[in-house]
Amino acid sequence: MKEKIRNCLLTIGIGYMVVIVLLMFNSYANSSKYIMISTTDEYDAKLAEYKSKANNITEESCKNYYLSFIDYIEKDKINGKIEVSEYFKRVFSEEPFLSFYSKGIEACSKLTQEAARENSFPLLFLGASIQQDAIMGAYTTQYELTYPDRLVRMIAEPSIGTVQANIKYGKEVEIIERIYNIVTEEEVVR
Amino acid sequence: MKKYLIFYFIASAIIVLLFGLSFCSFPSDSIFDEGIFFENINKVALYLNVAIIIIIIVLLIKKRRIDGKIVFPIAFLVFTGFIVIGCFLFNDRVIVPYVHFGYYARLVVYGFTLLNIYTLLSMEKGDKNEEK
Repeated sequence: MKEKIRNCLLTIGIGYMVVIVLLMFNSYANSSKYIMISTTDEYDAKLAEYKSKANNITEESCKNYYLSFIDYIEKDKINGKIEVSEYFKRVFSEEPFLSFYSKGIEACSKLTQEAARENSFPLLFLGASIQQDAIMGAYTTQYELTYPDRLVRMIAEPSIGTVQANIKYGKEVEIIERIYNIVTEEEVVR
Repeated sequence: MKKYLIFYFIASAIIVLLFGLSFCSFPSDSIFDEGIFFENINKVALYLNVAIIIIIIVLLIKKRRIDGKIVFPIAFLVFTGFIVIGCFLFNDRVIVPYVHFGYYARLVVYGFTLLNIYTLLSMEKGDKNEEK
């Protein structure tokens, strides 16, 4: 009987170790399919609101803007295949203004938790914010502390904040073309 | 028995080292409840392991022999090696330093708990055919 228990424990133990190692490397291997989403901070939101009034940006144009961007990154045009979570596709389709005029870190953290519930990893840095580094840092740190078994991939538009984040956190931030180059300004403001 | 004990005590030394490092590096300001939950589990696992190691040493002093398969402590060492290499490999891709290390150290400790229980169950009375 004791021998049986011992053999059983041996099998469980070795099985457990194999599973953990596989999960670990699987989570790293999958890290490229996660994209985190962060929106502009409060200052940028006000600026964006001002610009939107000036340029007459509508909810529909915002939606097109995001959906085109999702389409762009999902078509493997940046380094490695990325899947945007269904949650964020829904947010962009149903409430584009919410994403566009996010109210700083608090809103980011709400979005983070929502995304976490859906087991997705969205991150998209929008806006050429000078404070973007703060958002990136706060957002990513929060996610890393909550899900330390995952890797966050940071993708951002080129901005002062992006450069600052690169320097400050020593984490590689992939730079994409400005979204306005992908979705032309006319399309956004149509 | 000797070989088993050598590997077992190497594993124990690694665990002590890992725990020292993970306590130093793991951030304590997580706002999520899961962090607290894992910390409690961690303490239980730590105390349990220390207690079992003491029991094993006492039993060894009392001339008990170990009849376990050497593959378990070797597998544990390989497992720990993979985890540590993986954590260091991806450490430059995180903002919170050693965050993966702190997380996986717990899972290594759970594996060590299984090894400890196995070792305890492998203790046999008497010194019949003492291992060469």
